[in-house]
Amino acid sequence: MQMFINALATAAILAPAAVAFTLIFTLFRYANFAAGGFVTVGAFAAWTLNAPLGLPLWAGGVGAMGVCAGAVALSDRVVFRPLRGRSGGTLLLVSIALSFVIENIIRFCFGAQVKGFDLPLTGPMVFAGLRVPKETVWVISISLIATLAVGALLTFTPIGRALRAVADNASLANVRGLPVPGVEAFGVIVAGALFGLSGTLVGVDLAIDPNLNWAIAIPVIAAAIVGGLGSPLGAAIGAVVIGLAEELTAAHFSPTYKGAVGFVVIALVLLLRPQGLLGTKVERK
Amino acid sequence: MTLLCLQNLRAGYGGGDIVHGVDLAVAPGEMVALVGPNGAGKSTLLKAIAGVAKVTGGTLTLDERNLIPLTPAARAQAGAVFMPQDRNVFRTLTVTENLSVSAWGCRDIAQRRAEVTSLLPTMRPYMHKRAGGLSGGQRQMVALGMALMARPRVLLVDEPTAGLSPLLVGEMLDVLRELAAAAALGILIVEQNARAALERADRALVLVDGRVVRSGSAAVLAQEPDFGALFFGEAA
Repeated sequence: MQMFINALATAAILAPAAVAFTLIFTLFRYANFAAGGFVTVGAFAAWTLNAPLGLPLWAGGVGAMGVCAGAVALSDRVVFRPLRGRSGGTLLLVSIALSFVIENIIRFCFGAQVKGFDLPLTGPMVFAGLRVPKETVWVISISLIATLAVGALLTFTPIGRALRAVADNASLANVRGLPVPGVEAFGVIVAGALFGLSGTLVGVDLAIDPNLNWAIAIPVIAAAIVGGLGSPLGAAIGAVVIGLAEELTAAHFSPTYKGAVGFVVIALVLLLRPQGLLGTKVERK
Repeated sequence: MTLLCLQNLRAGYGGGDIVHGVDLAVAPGEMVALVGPNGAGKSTLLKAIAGVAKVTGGTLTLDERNLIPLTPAARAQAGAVFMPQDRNVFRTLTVTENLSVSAWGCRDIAQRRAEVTSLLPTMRPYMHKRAGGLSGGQRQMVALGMALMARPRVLLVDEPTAGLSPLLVGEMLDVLRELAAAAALGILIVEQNARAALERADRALVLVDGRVVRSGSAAVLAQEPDFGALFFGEAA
């Protein structure tokens, strides 16, 4: 049971970023490997607002979502938009380069030391004999609410429907009168805010590490692939699968191998069910 | 009264003109068929009016409003609504969602949806299905419904019967004919089944190599003895 709670905590950190990753993929048809870099930006933005500036953590988290939304929008404007129409492989390579740039900017600004939020010490909560840190309960609750909120946004609101329509067929959306560039910009901002939220949750549950980039990027991408690229609900479920796989690996082998779980899961999914859990098969043209 | 007016319109995709100086007018309630052999520039002409292909010269007005500076989205909102030949529905959205999203920015979406489903009642049984799972005929009906959600003044329809069975071809063209009359809608239609289109259209233009080579009453054109042989390679 304890392992399941740990898995949920891991999933809670990964889920918003995995949903953001799949949102960008569905809108622009490329895998943005700078996901880990953006999560790191979120973690350090929240830390800056919380520890040095003394704001409460919730304000730090909201600020981090704003900072990350700005960072992702800026990267889209400066880096990716000029390359629209290039192949997904080209954009993937560009995103890897961008992730290294972000990682080094973070190191330059904040040094190589691991940071922690300024949080009061609290005792654990006890559920049916299980001792669960209050921070973990908060991390799981906030991630769940955020993921459900994004699902509701995409399903029940006009802008969410427009986002799905543009992701489905942007040229048709254009002739149907939808403001495609505005809808895409909205999607980018939502994705950025979700990266910022993941960054904040990483800092609460684990640590704020300048080397976080690839350690978080691989499981985030694995979660999105497991769920089926293009399905936000699938990405959230994929995050739970990755969380469980990481905890099982730590329990039965060694925590050292946790980092390899993402790679193994990606390989297995691509071999056994390339479309992921909730994705749909597409034919190569 | 003229709704859509083209004068000496030239258009293409950036590598030279495909449409060379077309004059055309569509009145409210009128169905005008654009016919001609493959590669004549019929679809390009529709796309130029919709803003998808580039207009390189001439004038293009809807209700005397110049459409040329407008984006495709703005032209749709102005009333010139394009129904593409293929990939004309959002496959991952339900039919209801497809209709709703096609009235972007409107406050009366539910009312418009009710109007469209009353005009196209065959859609009712599959309103909650994903558009990607529908048959070709059902998809074309949804695409037409989506175009109607914008309350168009003029509907630019590109080969609405492509891939449909012969029975559905007639049905689709009849629906368009009835819509033109019921909603005072101008319809400019490109149709591969030229004879079926001419039977329903009020007027027709024959386009060859991007130029109008013949125009007039659809019924009269359809009766011309050399019509099929000249323009469609049919045996005389």
